[in-house]
Amino acid sequence: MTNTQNLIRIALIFIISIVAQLFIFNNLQFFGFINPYIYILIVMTLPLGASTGTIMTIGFVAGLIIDMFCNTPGMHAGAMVLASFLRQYILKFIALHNDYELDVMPDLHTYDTAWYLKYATLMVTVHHVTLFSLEQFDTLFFWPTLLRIILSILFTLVFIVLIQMLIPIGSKNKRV
Amino acid sequence: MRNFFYFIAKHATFIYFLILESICLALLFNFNDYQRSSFFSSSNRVCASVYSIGNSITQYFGLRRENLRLAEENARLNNKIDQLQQQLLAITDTMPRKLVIDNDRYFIYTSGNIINSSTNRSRNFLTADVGTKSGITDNMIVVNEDGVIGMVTATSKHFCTILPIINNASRLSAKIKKSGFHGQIVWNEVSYRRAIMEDVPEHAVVAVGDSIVTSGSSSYYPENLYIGKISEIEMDRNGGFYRLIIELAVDYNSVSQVKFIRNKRADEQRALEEGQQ
Repeated sequence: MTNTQNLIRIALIFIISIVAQLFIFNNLQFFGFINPYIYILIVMTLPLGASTGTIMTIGFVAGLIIDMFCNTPGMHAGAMVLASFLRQYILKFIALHNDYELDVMPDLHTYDTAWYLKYATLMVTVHHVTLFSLEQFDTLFFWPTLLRIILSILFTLVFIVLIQMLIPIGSKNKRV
Repeated sequence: MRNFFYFIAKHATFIYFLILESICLALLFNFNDYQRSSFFSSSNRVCASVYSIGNSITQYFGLRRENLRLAEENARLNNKIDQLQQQLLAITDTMPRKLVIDNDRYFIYTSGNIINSSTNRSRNFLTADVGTKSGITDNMIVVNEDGVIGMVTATSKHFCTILPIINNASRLSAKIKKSGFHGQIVWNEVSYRRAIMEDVPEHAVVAVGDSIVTSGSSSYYPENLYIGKISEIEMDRNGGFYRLIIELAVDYNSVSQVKFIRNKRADEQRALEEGQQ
């Protein structure tokens, strides 16, 4: 199901996403409080046929690494595990009429753009809402938090699309 | 029993999900304990070394401004030394010879570099490149030439993590310099340039532009360290207290050189205070 080429691709995406998140995206300042979290690409680009257990393990490890650098034990890991777990249902929910090819790593060019945007929006929303809720658990600043969530989702989506327009991170679609 | 195993096998993924999520939540809700252990914070060796590599590249971008700032501070300190020397000369002439001068300093300063900082989260932290080897200990106070930055919360051999004012866990007692009224500085997570001063009584004399300094009522913070100035005055929703919006003196986005202050008499003071209870 997973060939060597995919394995190398997954490892590269894992490392590059984390480094980019820590050194580029964590330092971006939009209006002082918006932070795009693009490292969710790690679980988004795993092959469509990967088991949920594998996805959750990879998401958990990636989240924990980000947590160690951000001094937020459990926060990013928690959001990643939930997003990883819900990925199977999101894929089922937005499924096209024919079945997914199991070894395809989905990106902007895999199926049509509308499909990918739906997929990305749902994944990023699950991740960001969980992340910001965990972060704000004990405080009562509701409206500022909601604004942060919405704006951060938008910025993350813009960056995820931009990254994929520049770098083809998924594997080629063999269906064409 | 067979049904039980069948159940486990059928829901293995969901059970695995629950296990992973419980680990995350356990870590999150024990935050304050783990925050102290440097394994889970950015002062652990691996994280800190990665950050210091990043910083060794990015620090060149701010070098010019940093040099200018240091030069200005040098000039100011030189002036101060001259002034004090003159005063000392004037005094020693008129003083009896056998006066004992207390050379035991209250505060010890150590300097360091900030190698990583965040300003856009609720729990912001700074990481600095000095640790226990340079004499940094927990609860040391961090300042730069602009004002108070925060307090050391975790240390490793070569690095330490600093809890700045702009972290929703930060509490800092402060006073209005002019009128002397006390209050507490907290952060409302809206902007990294602003904080809130709470618990200032209604009868206090406050004005926009007044300086806010540390109150010295906590044994960790020395008195009269500059925090910022009042930019807006509001009443607390429950009444009876002011809620002052403070414009912070420190720009957390560009801190680089910092000083760590250790209050040598803090331990003595705390030991005495604890003995009284």
